[in-house]
Amino acid sequence: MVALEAVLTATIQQVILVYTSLAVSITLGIPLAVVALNSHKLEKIIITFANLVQAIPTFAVVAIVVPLMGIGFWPAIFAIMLRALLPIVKNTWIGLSSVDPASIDAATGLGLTRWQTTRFIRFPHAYPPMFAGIKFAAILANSVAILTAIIGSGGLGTLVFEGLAGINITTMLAGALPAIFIAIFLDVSFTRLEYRLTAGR
Amino acid sequence: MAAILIFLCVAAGCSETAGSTDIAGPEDTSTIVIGGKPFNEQYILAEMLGLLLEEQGYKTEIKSGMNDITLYEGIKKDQIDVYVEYTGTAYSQLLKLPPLETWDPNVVYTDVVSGLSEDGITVLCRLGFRDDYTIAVRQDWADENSVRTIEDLVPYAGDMVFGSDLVFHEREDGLPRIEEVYGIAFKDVKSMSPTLVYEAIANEQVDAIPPYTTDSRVDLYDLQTLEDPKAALPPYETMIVMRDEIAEIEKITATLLVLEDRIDTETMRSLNAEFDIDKRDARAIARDYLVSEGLISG
Repeated sequence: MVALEAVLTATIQQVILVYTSLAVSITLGIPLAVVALNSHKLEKIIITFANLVQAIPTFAVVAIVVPLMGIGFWPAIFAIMLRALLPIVKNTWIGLSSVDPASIDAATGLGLTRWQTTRFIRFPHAYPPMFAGIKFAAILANSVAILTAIIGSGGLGTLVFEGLAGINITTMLAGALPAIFIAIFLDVSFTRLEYRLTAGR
Repeated sequence: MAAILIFLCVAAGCSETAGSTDIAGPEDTSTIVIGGKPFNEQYILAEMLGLLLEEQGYKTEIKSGMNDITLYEGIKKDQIDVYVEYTGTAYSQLLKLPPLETWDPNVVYTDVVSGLSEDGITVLCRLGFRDDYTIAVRQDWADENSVRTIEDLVPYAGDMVFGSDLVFHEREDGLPRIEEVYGIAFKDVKSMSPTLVYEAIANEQVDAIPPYTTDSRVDLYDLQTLEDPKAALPPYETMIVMRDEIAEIEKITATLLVLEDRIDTETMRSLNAEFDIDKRDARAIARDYLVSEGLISG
């Protein structure tokens, strides 16, 4: 049997890992998408870089971080962020840049500034793809946070790996089931947030 | 937009404060961070170190499931305080020293102690048991052909498939060394996750595997471990390693030194059996052992 306390601790660690890395990814990702929108040069660099980072296998991302940052919480956050950033940047950028040019022209005609156009025309239009990206990033973050147990991040991965080591189904499930619930919760909560933001329109 | 930003700030704020108390505690000297690798005895021994230190009032945190290199990086960067390492692993994998002509455990140990000290790592003591690689074949087949040593295996190897874990067949102190010393050549080598080799040999998908000597599954799966008369395989004596700053704290070293030479291979093997076969929790196994030895109060 796995002690309930151990499962709770691991679950709390998992939630903290996922939300911290997601918060960092969103605060970096959305501004990066806006920057990409406003400069063709930077757009190329940002999108290419995001694609390249995404092409590195997850396991390698986790391992590469160790010689640079060592082990533990922040290296894990960094590794998860590298994984979660692309869907956020790319989807937000796609949403922002695929607005009907006629709407932009109309907004400009009404005298809206570039910032106002982005804020009031482009962003509302970009919410669906942006939230799809964030939700995908959240699920990714949750699964990568399992893997980062191998670099000492704590979280539910510690239980999953311990279960694997002894082929102990109970321990494995004690790690896997809470992870599934967290994934469902992430999806539902971001769907609600999206609904709130768009319902006001 | 404003709503998102507020949400983010709150989320980030909460998680950072919570993170510093729950996870990122290595700066706090009252919490001892114990490392561990992802297999049976490593989970049990990490819990043992933890229980002993907790008995003395220390807070502990166990970072389990890590590998040789991440633990080594972690302890060098002061992110891990103490863990259980093996002389053979430290010798070839961490310090990358050249294989010895004949493996003398004491020479390996001395080289490891001096090598690790250059990295700011203190070897506290040896635990008493060795967890060597060995070669095992199916018991009935071994009896039939009266194979007891690796040397006996040589005439049969040409028809045998070797089922390796993920590293043994590539490590220069592993299978290549055996092939060189005994002039043995297997028909084929398949590598897989270490827990799977037992199923593979039981199902006759492979014919020889490299189990660890403390692994009870050798008995569970009716395997015969083969002797290594030419001492081709390096010794893996178990030892407690800690970073120098921790080794200076006498209360900690005294607490952990009770394990010196206390656990023999048979004992470790039976504790591992509780983990692998009885599926008991590592912490419970560790606690029961320490209580039965009178090292902690139940």
